[in-house]
Parts: sequence; structure tokens; C-alpha cells
Amino acid sequence: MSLLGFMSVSIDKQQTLLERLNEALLMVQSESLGRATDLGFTTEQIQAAKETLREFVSRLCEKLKENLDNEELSALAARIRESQFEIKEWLAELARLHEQLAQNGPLPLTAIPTLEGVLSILDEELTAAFNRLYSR
Amino acid sequence: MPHYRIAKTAELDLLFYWLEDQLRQLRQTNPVHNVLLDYLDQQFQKAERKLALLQTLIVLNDPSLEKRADTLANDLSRYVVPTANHYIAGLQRQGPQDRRVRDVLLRLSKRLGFDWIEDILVCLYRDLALLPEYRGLFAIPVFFGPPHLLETILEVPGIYHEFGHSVFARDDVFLREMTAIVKRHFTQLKQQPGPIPEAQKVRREEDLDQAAKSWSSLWLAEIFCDLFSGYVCGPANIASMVDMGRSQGRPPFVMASNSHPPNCARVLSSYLALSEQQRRHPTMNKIHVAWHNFIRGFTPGQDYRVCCSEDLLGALANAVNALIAQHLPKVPRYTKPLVDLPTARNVQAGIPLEDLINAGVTILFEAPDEFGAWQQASRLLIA
Repeated sequence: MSLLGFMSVSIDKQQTLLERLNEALLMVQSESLGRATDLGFTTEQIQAAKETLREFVSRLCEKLKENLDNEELSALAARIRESQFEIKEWLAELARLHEQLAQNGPLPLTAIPTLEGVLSILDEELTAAFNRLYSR
Repeated sequence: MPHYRIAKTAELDLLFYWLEDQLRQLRQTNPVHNVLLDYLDQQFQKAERKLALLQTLIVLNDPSLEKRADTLANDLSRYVVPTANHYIAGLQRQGPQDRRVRDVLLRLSKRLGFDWIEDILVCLYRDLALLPEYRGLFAIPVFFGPPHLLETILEVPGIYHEFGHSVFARDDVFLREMTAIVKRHFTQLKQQPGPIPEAQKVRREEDLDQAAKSWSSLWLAEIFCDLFSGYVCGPANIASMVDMGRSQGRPPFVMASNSHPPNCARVLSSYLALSEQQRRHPTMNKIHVAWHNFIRGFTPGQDYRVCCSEDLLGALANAVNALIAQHLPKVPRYTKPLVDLPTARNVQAGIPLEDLINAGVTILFEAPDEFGAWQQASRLLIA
């Protein structure tokens, strides 16, 4: 297969994940801002979005703790390890986020930047791969 | 920046009008691709809902949600590009030969138990390649190939290799297990340094680490697909790989490619994956000799010897055969050895493609003078 095929698979997997997380973050943040009704999101959708984010945070923590031997989230974990914060700080922050996402009320707005930060790394990775394949 | 955001949303809106119109027109011109178009429509509708969400965010104009609007716009742009570049462009250019190859590939998929594949978009204008996944779906791959794909028997095993990419992409067990084999192999080697000076030991470990790193997911994907091709079409796969290796003219031990392992490693692993009976066949022996005559002119470097040892290639070959049998029980293994010359000369309509290409290999190596005429007649049997 050409590089086109291989990269398209990798990009598609990253994109599917990121779209799901971006959508979930929009739902959760809109609830925190009191904007959920304006955007037409139901309570059930927001609850499911929190679960999606919680499950993702949990997988990321596992990846960071155990350096699991799989490709998933590898690039993200590597970027987090290179960041200016210690891994234990990241893990503490992610554990707090995991806890907050499990609660019934709206996610505190102070928790949004952590999620935004993680998702923006995924976005940068995807954008770089996407531009390599479809650059103009 | 709000102006840019408003403009970008308006542009996406226009693109979506164009996409919707194209999808409608393509349904008229490509009635055979209804299943594929149904999937494209489903994805379009999902994306359209996101566009509506983006438009609402623009109207709300809440600064706290600006980043969400930007990510939505990026997601939508990334939806449009592969949809338009591969599917819309491919459907717009469908010709009779694309549709003929599609029919052959769909029958092949059914025969070989690729039951996740519901339709295939064939585009015959470039080298062999497959786009196995589209927005998480494996049901509607795009298959690229050269316009002469079914004119030459030796190109055909490449088709099975490409389907291997669909298998490899949809279940990460293959990559996981193959990675574990590579890791285990080099870990064991590290533990057997023998009585050597410390400095030499350090250097040896660095070389082994480097060799292990060469086995990237790209390399493993390619080896998997070679092995998958051999699993479903048997000895013909080796003949095709020997032909590819010789005609490319690339030194067979060179480790220069990031995307493909050296040709010698690819041929050897595929050879080791054949059954004892397939390997012992006299015609297979001729193929083997043809390859060895070619590689005799080259010398493997130390990097090749460390990276692509027969032990490792054999372990990968055995593991992939076992994994395919375990995870894809509906996919039949091609267990027949090459046929004899009279049988190969006497191929008839209705013969499965895998048998036909194996017969072609017998003609090529046992009666090369007849190959042109045989191929001229037998390519009409491809169905």
C-alpha cells in the first residue's frame, strides 16, 4: 500500500476520536455556561458527553502511568511528557477532572482549560498529519 | 477573528450545498453504488447537523465558546477533504473498467469472507493502494490500481495485499501481537550477548535497539499484508513478490525505506509462511532459485542481518498465519500447492481467481514460452 493508505487510516482514527471529544466538550461546556438549551442539547446528551470525556481521561491516565505498549494516545502521551509540568502534576489534574466529570452538576468552568489543553494537542497532531497528506 | 469565523462558516455552508448536490447527481449516474452513497449520505447528514451547530454558535456570539466554534469548523473542513477528494472525485470518474474490477473485487470479497465490505469504489489511475477506513467505517473502501490491473496475472496478488490493509486497519490485534513478537525477539537477543567487552556490549545493544525501531507500524503493516496475501492466494503471492523485487531493481537488502521492509525480508517471510507441501513443490523450488539468483549479486549489510533475521521473519510468518485463522475464521487459507503443467494449461471458465493466478505461475516458470499466449487467453477467465 502507498503511504496514502496508511496515513489515511491513522488520520481517520485520530479524527474520529477528536470529533467525538470536541463534540462532548462543547456539550459539557455549554452546560457549565448555561447555554445548553440554546444549542439544543438534552440532559441525556450532556450526561453521555461527560461519560465520553471521563472514559477518555481514564485511558489517558492509564497510558501516562503504565506506558502501555499500544499506539493509541502514544503521541499525546509523549507530548504531555515533554511539557513543562511534571507527570505527577498532570496525573493529579487528570484525576481531579475524572472526579468532576463523575458528578451530577455542571462541570466547573475552571476544569475546561485542562480538557481544552489536551484536546488542542490532539488537534495539533491531527492537523500536522492531515497537512502532510493533503497539503497545498 | 469573528469576521473570519463568520466567513468560514459561510464558505462551509456553500461547500455543503455543493456536496449535497453532488451526492444527489452521483446517485443518478452510479446506481450500482447505492450502498456506498447511502453511507456517504449518512455521514453528510451527521456533518450537516454539526454545521447547524456551528451556525448557532456564530449567532450566539459567546466569547467563551469561540474555541468550540473553531474546532467545529476544523472538524467540518477535515470531513469535506477526504469525502470530496476520494469519494466524490472517484464516483465522478467511474468508467466501465472501474466497474468491471469492482465486480471482480466484490466477488472476491464474498468468496474470501471479507463480510464487512459492502461496496468498493475502484479508481484505476494510479499504483495499487487502498483507503480502508472512512470516518470509522470499513464497509466502503476506495481501491486504487493501475488501468492494466487485470491484464497481468502477476499484478493480481497485489489485490490481496491491499485487502490485507483493510484487515490490518480494522483490528489492532495484528499490530499489537506483531509488535510484541518484535519486542520479544530483540529483548532475547539482548540477553544473549555472550562473553564480550562492556563497550562492545553497549554498542551491540544500541544496534539491537535501532533494529527493533526499524520495525515501525508501517513496516509491520506491509509484512502483514504480504503474509495475508500468501494466506489467501498461496504460492502465487511469492511469484508476484519475486517479480516485484526483481523488476523494481532495488537492492534487496537495503533498509532505506521508512514505509516498506527490504524486499528480501518480504520475500523470505512470505516463503516461510507457506506450508511445507507448498514449499517443497518443484515449481516453487524454481521460483526460489530465481530469487536466489537475483539476490546473489548483493551482499546484506550488518544492519539487515540484525534487523531481518530468519528467526524473526519466521516467527512473524507463523504468528500472522495463526492470528488470521483465529480472528478471521471465515477467511479460507489457500493450502493447495502449485498445479502441474497440463492442469495449468487447461484452465476453464468459472475457475476461482486464486486458482487461475496459481496456474499462471506454473506456466510462467515451467513453460515460459507459452506464458504470453496463456495469459492472453486466461485473463478473459477473470471473473
